[in-house]
Amino acid sequence: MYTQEITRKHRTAFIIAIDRSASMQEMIRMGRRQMSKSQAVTLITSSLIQEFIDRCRRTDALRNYYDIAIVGYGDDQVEMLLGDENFVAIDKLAERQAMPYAISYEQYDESGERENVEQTMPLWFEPKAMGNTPLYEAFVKIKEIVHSWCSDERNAESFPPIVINITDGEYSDCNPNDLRDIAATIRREGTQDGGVLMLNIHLSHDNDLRSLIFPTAEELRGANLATQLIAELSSTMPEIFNAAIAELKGKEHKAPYKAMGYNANIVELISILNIGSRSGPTLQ
Amino acid sequence: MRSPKNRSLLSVNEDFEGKRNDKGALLDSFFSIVNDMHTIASITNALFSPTAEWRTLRGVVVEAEAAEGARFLVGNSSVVVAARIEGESVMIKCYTRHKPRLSQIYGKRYHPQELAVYNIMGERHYVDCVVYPRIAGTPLDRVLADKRCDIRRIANAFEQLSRILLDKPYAHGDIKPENIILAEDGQMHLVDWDAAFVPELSGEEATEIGTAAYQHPLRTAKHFNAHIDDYSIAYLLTMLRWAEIDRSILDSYRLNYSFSPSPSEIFSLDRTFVDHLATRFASLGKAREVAIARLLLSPTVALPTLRHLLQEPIARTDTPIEVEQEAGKWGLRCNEGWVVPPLYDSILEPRHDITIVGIEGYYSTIRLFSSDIYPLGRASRLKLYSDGSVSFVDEQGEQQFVTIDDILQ
Amino acid sequence: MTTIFAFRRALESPLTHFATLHSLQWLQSDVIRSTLFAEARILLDEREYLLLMPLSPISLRYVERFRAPSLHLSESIVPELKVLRDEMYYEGSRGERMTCDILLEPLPHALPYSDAVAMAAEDRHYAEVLCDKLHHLEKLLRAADISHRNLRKENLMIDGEHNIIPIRWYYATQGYGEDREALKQLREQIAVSLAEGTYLAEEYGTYSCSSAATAYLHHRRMSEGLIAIEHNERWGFMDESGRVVIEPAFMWVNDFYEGRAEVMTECGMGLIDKQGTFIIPPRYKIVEFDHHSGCSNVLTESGWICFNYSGEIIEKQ
Repeated sequence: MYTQEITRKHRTAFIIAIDRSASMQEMIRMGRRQMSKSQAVTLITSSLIQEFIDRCRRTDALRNYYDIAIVGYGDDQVEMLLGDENFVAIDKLAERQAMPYAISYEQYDESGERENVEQTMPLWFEPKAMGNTPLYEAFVKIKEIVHSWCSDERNAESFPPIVINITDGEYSDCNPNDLRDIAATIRREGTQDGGVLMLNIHLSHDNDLRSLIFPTAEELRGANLATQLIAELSSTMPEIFNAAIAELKGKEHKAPYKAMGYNANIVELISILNIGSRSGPTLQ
Repeated sequence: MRSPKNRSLLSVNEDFEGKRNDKGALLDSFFSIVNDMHTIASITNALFSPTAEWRTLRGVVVEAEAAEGARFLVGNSSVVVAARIEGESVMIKCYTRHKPRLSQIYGKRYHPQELAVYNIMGERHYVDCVVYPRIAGTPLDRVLADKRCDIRRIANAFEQLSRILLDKPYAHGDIKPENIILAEDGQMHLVDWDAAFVPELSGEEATEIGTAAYQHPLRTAKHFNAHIDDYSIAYLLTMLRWAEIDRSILDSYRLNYSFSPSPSEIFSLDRTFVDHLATRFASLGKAREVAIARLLLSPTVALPTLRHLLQEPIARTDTPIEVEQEAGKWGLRCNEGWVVPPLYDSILEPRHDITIVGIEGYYSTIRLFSSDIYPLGRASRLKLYSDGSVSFVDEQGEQQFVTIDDILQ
Repeated sequence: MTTIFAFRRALESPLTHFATLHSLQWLQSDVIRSTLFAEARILLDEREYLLLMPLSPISLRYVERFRAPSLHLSESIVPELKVLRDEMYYEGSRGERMTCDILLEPLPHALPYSDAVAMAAEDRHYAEVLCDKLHHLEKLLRAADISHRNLRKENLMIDGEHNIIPIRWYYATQGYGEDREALKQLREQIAVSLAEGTYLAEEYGTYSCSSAATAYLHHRRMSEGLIAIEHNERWGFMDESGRVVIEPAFMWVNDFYEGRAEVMTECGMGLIDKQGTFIIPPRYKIVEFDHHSGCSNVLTESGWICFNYSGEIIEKQ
């Protein structure tokens, strides 16, 4: 289980679901800069997509290892943020022009002088933060696209899709049992190599509450109801990720680990995304 | 007479036996922050920036293209660019995350914490780099993708590379066409030694176990020694030799980006695939290929006999040549070594430098000190005459006669 | 969803903003809001009414279920509540015309209950009368087998015969029993207001609590992980384990939406986040958080202004 390598014959899929409700307007620090959670998540996700594209580069062509889908939910609607299609193949995505976004930072030149440098990075969709949090509807959409991907014969033996959900608040369109049900149906989809992996990352809004990143069963004991609900919605991380997670958490926390983050700050969000997208099976 | 060792073949590895980079080892333990992963974009931004910050390297000029049509090359956890350092043409490999052991593997070529990169938070970090000489050539996977490739030349070059590599106390660890560069002069060079075993690392476990499509299915991290290339070499060599006699193999390779069957598929097909392939090789008198193909079903990950199988025969001798046996197989030996390696089920005393050999029921005539083979098929009642001609009864029961001229053609 | 802004506009121009209530007259130019409704007092056909505009999709839930049974009640303590469908017009976020339902509750000819409590504080005999009247109310509720569920000083009136008449019936349900605690508190309030502090209150049996929330007399449903609770006439929030997260210090609070909740203090309305920190300080007449846009419309002395999600002023309207 979860042993299939990613090749051009056995491709895999990433689905990133992003909360775009009004509460994502909250301002946070990203390094030295201040920006809203929505802008931060948009930048980080765009950076991740760019990384996916770059990892597929070879001298002859872009290797089509991945299908990518980005689902945005907020303001009573669920939208596919990469255009009309559900999934976009990575080589097709690479042909598109992303919007340039300038980041600036300071660096020291050879004489030790500080200078401001601007970098342009591609932004694959606009940040938005409005309205409510229709998480249930988002999960319904995810289930639909995951099902169609897994049903495709060509994907039958592939490493199963990875769903990453990034949210900062509570859902407004259902009760906890509804969410548990729909998340379970998503996790039941999969390929011969295993069930769909669901990672739920909850962004912090209370810095006094401790954060839980890839928690063990021990760490989840005594956690509040919201944390436990997220744990129930999430998969358990397969073995191949364990070494990287153990490095992140330290030796005292032993596998298995839940595929989630609760009250995660921006740095922890990036760590989770790194592990979820880059510590798994290697590209062949 | 043995062929001279061509040192330039493996020039990238000069420092294997060289001094360990002590500073690198110290930093290895200090920077165990595996999670410090950088994006390819952050590294390329740094590399192509006019104000790139190098900690120890001086006079670095990164070139616009690393290879035809590509600004940079990408590996599993690295970015590679072409550059000139104080006039010398090199490749610089920058790692997206810290990997242990690079100092033991690359020695002085390893530059830890060398290049400054800025992450999405605007924070400055340093990434490790390895500098190695640039080789003008094409990766083998691209060569094989070209329908007009000279497969025989490729197979011979790979055999030669393997011969040298198996003689070394270290191993590459991830042999596959993508990691083999076919240079313009026809030599093959190995690149990307991140999974290598070097004697210094004896007793440790592997951190990477190569690419499944070229590894023994039972290989695990515990298999970490000088034999980790054995199976990959046997597999790839077999596939290339097979492609030599049946070019349709390459069509399948181009379609699926890998050879078929894969090592694990070979095992799951029991003996049928290997038997079939061995028979094909045997019918053409290719005894070495028969032996190597049969190794693909080895229950052990290491293939200690592979090295001997690849030994080149003696090119010329004046000493007497005799039929001799080793490990149940027959060959022809002189004082300096094997003239005809012990790969055959049966062999005859040579006449006029011609001999008859048999392998798995197929017979051929061989001319000594050359690679000429004249297959005779499933023959019986073979007779070698003093003038080097051969008579035999073929599969259909017909009496056949082959003169030395036919053989020498 | 509807806003107070829209409500006020409709009240100012009923002819163009109501389907049938063209002749309503808006009494006192104040709009009161609770969690479920925005409320205005109006005069219609020479009768006073509470005009209630729903602020949430669930506002009319109880009313819709409650109305039918109450029509059979012989004792007319329950007023005739009317739901007028699609009665009020307002502009949606994209400028389109929207309608919403309106709840109309006729008001009795009566005075505020708080006046009576003030009298009872000075007149022991009157205090006893008042207690009797509370008993009587309880009997009526029991006989009708209903619970008002919102019996507080502000929701009671007292008529010429000192009968206590509850108003704001929009939480009411069938089944007697949920008003016990409230009535007990009301009795205690009268007793305490007497000079000697003698208790006249009777015990009607203990009220068994099955969850942390019912330790508080008034509490509402959980929204975004927090439950609004009332203690000593002040509102705050607790989480589902019963831990008080925001101390009851507010006169009124709204439920949390998208991480924000409006609150009312003695000095005015404000907006808090889930740690109880003021995003908009409590000194405004009205603060109305729009969880669609994340912005708040705020009524100040000099007119309406708009704040963004972080509490910064973005424009004056």
